[in-house]
Amino acid sequence: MTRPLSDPIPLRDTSVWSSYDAVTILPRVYGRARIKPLRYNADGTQYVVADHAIAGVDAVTLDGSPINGWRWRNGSDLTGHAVALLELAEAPDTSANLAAVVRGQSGNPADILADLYPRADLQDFRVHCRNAGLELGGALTERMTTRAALQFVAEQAGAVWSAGLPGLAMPFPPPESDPIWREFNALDMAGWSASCELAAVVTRLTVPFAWDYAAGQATQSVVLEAVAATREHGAREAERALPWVTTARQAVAIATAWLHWRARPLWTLQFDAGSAARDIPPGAWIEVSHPRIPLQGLYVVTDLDPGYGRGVVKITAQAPAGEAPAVVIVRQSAAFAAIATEYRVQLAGDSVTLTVTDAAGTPLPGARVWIDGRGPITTDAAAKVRFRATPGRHVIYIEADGRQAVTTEVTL
Amino acid sequence: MNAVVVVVGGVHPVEVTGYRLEGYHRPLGGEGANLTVVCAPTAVPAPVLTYPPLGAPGTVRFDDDLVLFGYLAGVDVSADAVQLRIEG
Repeated sequence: MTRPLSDPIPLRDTSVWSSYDAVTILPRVYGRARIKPLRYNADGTQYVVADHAIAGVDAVTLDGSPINGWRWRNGSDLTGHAVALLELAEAPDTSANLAAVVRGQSGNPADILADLYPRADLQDFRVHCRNAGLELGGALTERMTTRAALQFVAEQAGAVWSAGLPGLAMPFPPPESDPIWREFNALDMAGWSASCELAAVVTRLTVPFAWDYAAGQATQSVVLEAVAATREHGAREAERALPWVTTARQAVAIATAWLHWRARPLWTLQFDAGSAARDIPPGAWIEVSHPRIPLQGLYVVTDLDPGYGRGVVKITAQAPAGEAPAVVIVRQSAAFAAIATEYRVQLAGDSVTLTVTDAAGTPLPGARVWIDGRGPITTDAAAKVRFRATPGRHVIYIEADGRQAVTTEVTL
Repeated sequence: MNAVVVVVGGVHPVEVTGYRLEGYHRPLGGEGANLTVVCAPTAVPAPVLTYPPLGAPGTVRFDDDLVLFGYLAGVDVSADAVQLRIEG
């Protein structure tokens, strides 16, 4: 049995231990995230990095510089609860800024939702996230209700959720291939009204993403604009933070889909339907055909009042007018404290070997590399990719989770 | 009968005749300018209603008085009327 959505996510804090520095939430880490370890013993050599078992720690830094002399292990704390521990050979200065890059529980958004609100029917959304390459990285470090946590995670994945939705979550807008649940015409719709307003139009979107929990700030941001919509409706700016999105590719994909929906007049339609419409789930496509309603065609149901006892179902649905506008990246930038990505290029005839590392030279397996826009090729365990190229100039784009993307050129 | 006329759109403005004007008043210390022009359902051309030029300039006249120069902020449609919201 799942808990009520109004219940808080059960997060422990440091007061469960007999001694602690300050009362701080013990983080729950998903995917790969840079977090601030919490001191666990008096001499400052043991730290807790997650309130559960983790997959690993990739790096430890002190005041931003990588250090050696550390190891991590999954164990248990004084209370017998599973935690992930970081052990340092030497206690750092108490004023120093200790940070660790932790690989926590699965970063698949569906797995995160299932962890927060156990349900058995998340398989469709899990497959969608996997196919779309959606992988989040972040830590729960604040108390919040289950409802707020589900909303937050769904937003990070460019999705919507509802307890009444089969599968709990779905991408938004829903895929065009999804079935049309019901058709409504003038005879099926009573008491209808439709509205659209400028306040809902957004033509330029700023997206801070890749949150650094140790530094308490986003490390990257991207600004996208629907230029034609700006000409038509004026510059309508908004910010949508995606702190758990770790790559520019994901941030751009989510923001683009959002602008396609919001950078044009968005009609909200409300009407009463018969009780047979009660089974329409939120997020479903419906088709509206009514000579007096300004916008005909497909709408997405955004709310449904089943009207128990009244026999009238109140439906709210939305649809944007016109064609989805073209969206361009206006600016992409990184915070001053961005985690750098380095690379080494070795040439041998027409063969190129590229090694991707962090600033300290530590290899970064799993980084993604595009050559002349083709790719990605993922770096192997030694953080290398090898490819053949024709003589001439080639543009290489490197992207590693939570790090600043790099564009470079090689000439063969 | 008094005429309420609203002209919306920049390059190709559309003139719409309404039958009522709501929400405009002139208090001391400012001007209440959330103005609504109420029209018959058929008063607004269908293409304009389907894709309303939100944010485009909007001018409202009552007989010969220029009441407000602003922009189209919203549209509400029901079976009885179309309401154009002009803010300035």
